[in-house]
Formats: sequence, C-alpha cells, structure tokens
Amino acid sequence: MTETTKNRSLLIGVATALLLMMGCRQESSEVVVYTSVDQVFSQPVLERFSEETGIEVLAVYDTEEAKSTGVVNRLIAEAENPQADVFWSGDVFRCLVLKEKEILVPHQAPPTIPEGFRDPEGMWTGFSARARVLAYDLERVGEPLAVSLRDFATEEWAGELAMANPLFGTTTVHVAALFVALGDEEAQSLFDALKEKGTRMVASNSESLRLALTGEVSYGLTDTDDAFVALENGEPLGLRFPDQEGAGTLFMPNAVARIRGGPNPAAAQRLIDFLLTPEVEAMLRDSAGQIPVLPGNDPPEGFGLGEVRFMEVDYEDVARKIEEIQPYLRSWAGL
Amino acid sequence: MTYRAALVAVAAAYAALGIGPLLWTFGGALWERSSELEALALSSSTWASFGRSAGLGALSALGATLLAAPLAFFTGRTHLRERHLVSAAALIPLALAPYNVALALGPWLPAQPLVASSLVLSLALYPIPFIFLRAALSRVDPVLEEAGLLARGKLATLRHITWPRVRPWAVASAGIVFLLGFGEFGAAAFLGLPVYSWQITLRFAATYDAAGAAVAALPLVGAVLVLLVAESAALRRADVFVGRLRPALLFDLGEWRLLARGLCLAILVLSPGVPILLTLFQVDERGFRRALSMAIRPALNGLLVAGTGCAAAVFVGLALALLSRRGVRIFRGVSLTFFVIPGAVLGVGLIGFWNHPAMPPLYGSMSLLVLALMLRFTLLVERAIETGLHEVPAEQEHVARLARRGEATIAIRILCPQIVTPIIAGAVAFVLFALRDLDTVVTIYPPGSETLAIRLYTVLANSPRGLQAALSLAQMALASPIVLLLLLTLRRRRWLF
Repeated sequence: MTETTKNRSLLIGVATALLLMMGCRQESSEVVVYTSVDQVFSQPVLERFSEETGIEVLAVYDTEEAKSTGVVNRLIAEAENPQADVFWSGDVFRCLVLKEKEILVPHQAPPTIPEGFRDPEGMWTGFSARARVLAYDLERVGEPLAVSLRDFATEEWAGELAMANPLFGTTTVHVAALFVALGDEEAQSLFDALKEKGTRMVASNSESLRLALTGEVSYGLTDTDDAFVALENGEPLGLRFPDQEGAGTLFMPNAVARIRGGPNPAAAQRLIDFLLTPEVEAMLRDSAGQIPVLPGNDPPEGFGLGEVRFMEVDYEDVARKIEEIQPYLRSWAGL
Repeated sequence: MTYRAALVAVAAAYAALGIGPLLWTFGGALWERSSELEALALSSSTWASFGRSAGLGALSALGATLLAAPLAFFTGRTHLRERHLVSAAALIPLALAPYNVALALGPWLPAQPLVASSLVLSLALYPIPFIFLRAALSRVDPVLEEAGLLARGKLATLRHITWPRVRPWAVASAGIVFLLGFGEFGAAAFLGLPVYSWQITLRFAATYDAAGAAVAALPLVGAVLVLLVAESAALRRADVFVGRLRPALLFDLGEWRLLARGLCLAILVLSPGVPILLTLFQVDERGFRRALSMAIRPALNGLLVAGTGCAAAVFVGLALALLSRRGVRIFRGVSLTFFVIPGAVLGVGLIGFWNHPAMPPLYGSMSLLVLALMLRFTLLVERAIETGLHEVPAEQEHVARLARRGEATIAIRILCPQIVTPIIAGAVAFVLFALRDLDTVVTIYPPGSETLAIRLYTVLANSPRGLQAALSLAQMALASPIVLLLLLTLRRRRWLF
C-alpha cells in the first residue's frame, strides 16, 4: 500500500468515526430526560424505568453548583431544536418558567394527583416534595434555637448562617417565595441585612450543611433531602422548619413536564406515567427523604412533619418573581 | 493544490471552526451589550475574581516549580542512584486531574480556598515544570560548567552558568502552569474559590446570559495577546539546541546524598502518593460496585472522544507547526486563544452556532465534544511538534531542496520521522487533558454521552463519599495507561531518564 493510500485510508477512517458519532440515535426505543434532581436519587428511578419498559433513558443531569438552572437554560437555548423529551425538575417553578416560554406541551397525568399539584392546562405535574430547613449540629448548638431567617439579620446571630447561591436551585425559589410573601421592600431589606450581617454564601445546599456540621457556622439553610442523607450517614443533625410563626416553611414538590418538539413523544408519556406513581415516590422517600404527595405512602420518618406549617404559595406568582428579582439576586451574589 | 496551500487550508478550517462560534458569541455580546463593557471593567467583583484567578495561577506556578526543581536537579545532574525511578514516579501525577487531588485531600486541605486550590494545583501540575527543567538541564554545555568549576566552584557555576541557561525553560513551564491555574475550573469550584472562569460559567448557567458571559470573557483576549508576546520573546532568548547532546555534567552530592533522597521521597509521597492512597482509603465496597456500573460507559465515551479528537488534533497540529516553521505564525495565536478562553464560553458559542435545524446534525452528538476538545487542546500537540521541529537542522531541508525534492516530500520523509516522539508526547498530553476536561464538555455534552469527568462531577451532590472516591479512582485508572505510554515513549530519552 502506498503512502498516499495509507493517508487516504486514515482520513476516511477518522471521517467515518465522526459521521458514526453524528446523530447516531435510534428513535422510539429511547427517551431523553433532563433532570435537576440529584443524580444519586434520580438515576436509580430512571434505571428502574428502563428495566421495566426496555426503553433506554438518555439523561442530562445538572451539577451541584448550577442546580436546576443549568438544565433549564439549556432547554431554553435548545427550544428551536429540542433534544429533550422530558424535564424532571426538583421544583415546580422552573416548569412554570418553561411554560411561559412555550417550551412545554400538555401531558396526561393520573387523576390521583391532588388538585394543588397539577397545572390546570396539563403542562406540569407535581409529585414527591421537599421542604426548606435550617440544619444545625445537635452537639454544638444549644438553646435558644433560631426559628426564622430574620434571626440571622440580627447581631446575635450575625455570620451564623450559610446558604447556597440564590441564583440556583431551591434557594432561588425560597428567596422568590419570601419576596411574594413579604413584599419586595421587606424581603429586599431582609436579604440586604443577611448579607450585611455576614451570611455566608456557598456553592450548594450540601455545602451549607457541611459548614454547619463542621462548626464554621451554626446553621445551614438546606433542603430535607440533603438533611436526610446527612442523618442516614449518622450525623448529629438537628432540624428547624423556618418561619413557623411567620410565613411558614416552603414546601416544594418535584415536577415533570413534556418538552415541545421532543424526539420521542410516546416514550416521554410512558416515562411521565412511571414517575407519577406511588412506587417512585416510595423510592424517593427511602433514598432522599422526599415527602410523598400521592395517597398510599407514609412520609419519611424523623422529620416530624405532622406539626409543620407550610407556606401558602401561588406557584405562578413565585415563578414570575424568580424572573423579576434576577438582577437583584445577581447583585446579591456578586455577579 | 500546493503543499503550502494545503497547510493553510487545514489551519484556516481549524480557525474557522472555532472563530465562527466565538464570533457568534462575542459579536452578539458586543452588539447587544457594549454598554456593559465599561461597567464590567469597573466592577469590583470582576477584578476580584480576575485577581483570584491570577493569584491561583501565580501560586500554582510557584508551588509546582518549587516541587519540580529539586527533583529535576537531583535526577538530572547528580549521581543519585534512584534517579531513573524518581524520574518515572515524577510523571505519575499527570494521571491525576486537579479535582481528583482536591477530592482526595478535601478534609485535610487548608480552610482558605486560595491556599487550598494552589496547593492542589501545585501537586497535580508539577510534572510540567519537571519535564521542562530536566530538558533544560540536559542542554547546558558541560564544557562551560567544567570551566566554571575549575574557576569558581559549584555554587558559582550553578548560579552564573547553569541557571541562566535553564531560566527561559523555567519561565516557560511556569507560564504554562500559570495558564492552567488561571483557567482552572473543577478543583476551584470544588474548593469554593470563585475564580474567573467559574464566574463566567455561573453567569451563563444562572441566566443563560451568553452575551454576558462573553463580555465577561473579553479581558482574556487581552491576556492572550500578552502571552503571545511573552512567548515569542522567551523563544527568541532560549537556547535552541541542534544536534546530539553531550553527557551532562553530574555533581557529586557527597554527604548531602541522604538529604537529597529524603527530599525526593517527600515530594513523591506528597504527590502522587498521598492523593492516590487517600482515594483508595475512601473507597468502600458499595461505592466500588456502584462505580463499576456507572463508570464503564462514560469511560468509553471519554476514550472515544479523546481518541478521535487526538487524531484530528495531530493532523491540525502538524499543519500549524509546519506552517510556523515556514514563517506563517498567525495561527499560533488562534490555537492559544482557544486554549485560554474558558471552556464555557467556547461551549456557549458552539451551542449557539450549531444548534439549528438547518445545521448538520453535529449538535446533540458526540462529534460536538470532539470538535470542542480538538479546538481547545490542539495547542498542546502543536507546541510539542514545534519543539521537536526546532531540533531538526534546517540544512537537511536545504539539501533536499537542492536535490529538487518537493516540500511535501521533505515534510513526510525528513521532518516527520524525526518528530515522532514529540508527536506522541503531544498526543498523550492531548488525551490526558481531554479525558479530564470539565468546563468545556459540561455545557454541551449530549444526553447519555457524558464522559467520566462529567459523571464524577454530576454525582458529587449527596452521593456517598465511597462512590465519589471510587469514580475518582476510576478516572485515575483511565489516565494511567496514557501516562505509561508516555513513559515508554520517553524511556530512552537521556534528557529525561
């Protein structure tokens, strides 16, 4: 073989490899899901779906630091040429953002889903929830315990709170919900005071929990699933559901939605049907301490949820507020 | 098509594939958000994150050089009996990505994120100055050093004869480590240091503010220009050695032999010893079994993408290096730009450019990852080949031209056979960087096609420590055969072993 022929063969080989990798996906035997739920919790659920149905799941997971927002914004960017079939979000509010941008289409949801956990137009359906909590080290933090975020805007608790970047994940939702509940002026004053009093902004909910357990701060603002994992690992963790005397604690169901123009609509509906079952809620309760909303499942143990007062929120208002306060949040986060 | 035109066509295609998406992003940014440039330039948070990145780069360069220098000297210029073993062991950290080291050392690192990140990068990147310093030390003319020893003694010889000849290489390697530290993403994010590249990625991820992210990245274009000028100046001053090396002058350690051994051992224990051992220690059985099932497909994805990208990068890098030898240097700036620009900015540009129904089905496939990595890391292959070409006497080409041989024949029959080792070294560097890359691929990876680096990164949230450690170990294991290939390729090189 001459050198020229060898070179040509090499070029053809590389080009073939590239072509094989381009758009080499089969339809109908797979479903593409973008999820902001922690991979350690969502992947086993998706694998169970694959085992039961034979449909391969191709997933894009979010990273801890860009939680929720990364995949949402990728969906927005791909709107004209969608790659995903299903969006499984850790909260309802990102689905509302996508609904407003007309990126979603209706899907069927089982009638057992309670009224407050489904979109009237069928664009999203809620299931398996989390709540915001203040976590502290039982061996280090004594009475009196903090009861509200307002406590950390005072001298007594200055610098004793860690919270995740408010541009991402459930922290954005929490901040937006407080803006709705308290009004813009009062909420902005609260968060300005939190920043002034040295509240530490960290990369993620699990990082804020870690700082509370190592004693770098007294309290970490986090979610019940992060707290559940720490409790399962034997950490001496105490939990306070914030603002029980005030606006109440934020309760955030997961949500699932179908993407307009997704390549595998039939498989997408099957995945949605699978996710909205008590069996999946039981899996998420047992692995992540998530709180079932469908009838038939007990709540996770150890949280004392029976006496907790949850915040009354209008999801649409909170979703709108998330968009409105972005400039303020960027400034607060130093971006 | 002539030989030179073919090289220019390849280089131009490479430039167009990257510049197109960057123009899409930067052009759109400047069009929409030009008013923000001033605000951005004057923003204290911008300067703070820029300063943190520069500080990280500088401290990492200093730390890596301090670790590498004694190893290079003791293995290259003394009678240390274990010098070959130490030389080989000093290359093992190439298999450890900085975030592997950060994950391993996590709880034991200093609380201050800048110090912790600098330490991690120094431990992970010191093989780079080690290789440069060993090469430099082997090139010092022993006759000059012998004359110096006769006249003034050891210390004066090292100071006035050896060090001036080694200095350009030390500066060049420190510059590379500075660049890598400046652009560091994974380890800095893990350790909570809000560096510049992370700020850009956050700006994009938080609001999909592609224009904002591009505006934030514009100062880096200026940094690229500064680096190009500095690089050219350093190359002009560096000794270009042509021909067979003379055996280097070896200094007798005498009573300092034990101390030298101890210092080498201490450095090697620090890295790679401690990170590997701590990672092994943190792996548990459950994490290991789970990691096995989670790691195989991403590992194969990474190898496929890195391998294909490497083939393309060698092809392009060779064209760029041969053009540079012919005096066409404009494309050197292009490859450096792609290397310096944060991966998120390049990724955003690629999404904006390729994610249209009218464009070929590149988006959503692994080909986009190949393209992105090829654009980013061709510099490594190109510079390795250029270094090799520097050592090929120009007279060989002159003789061939006199014999009326064409340029293509000269390149294939005379130049290429003499640069096989640099090509392999550059290819190895490409694969190592491609396997560990995070900030480029995390923005654009297609569903189900994540690499092992992405798998490790997305699994960090709430996953058991044992699983994180097992995946980190899997990544080190994936890179190890590549490092072994490098060792085997270079084992006969006197300047290293």
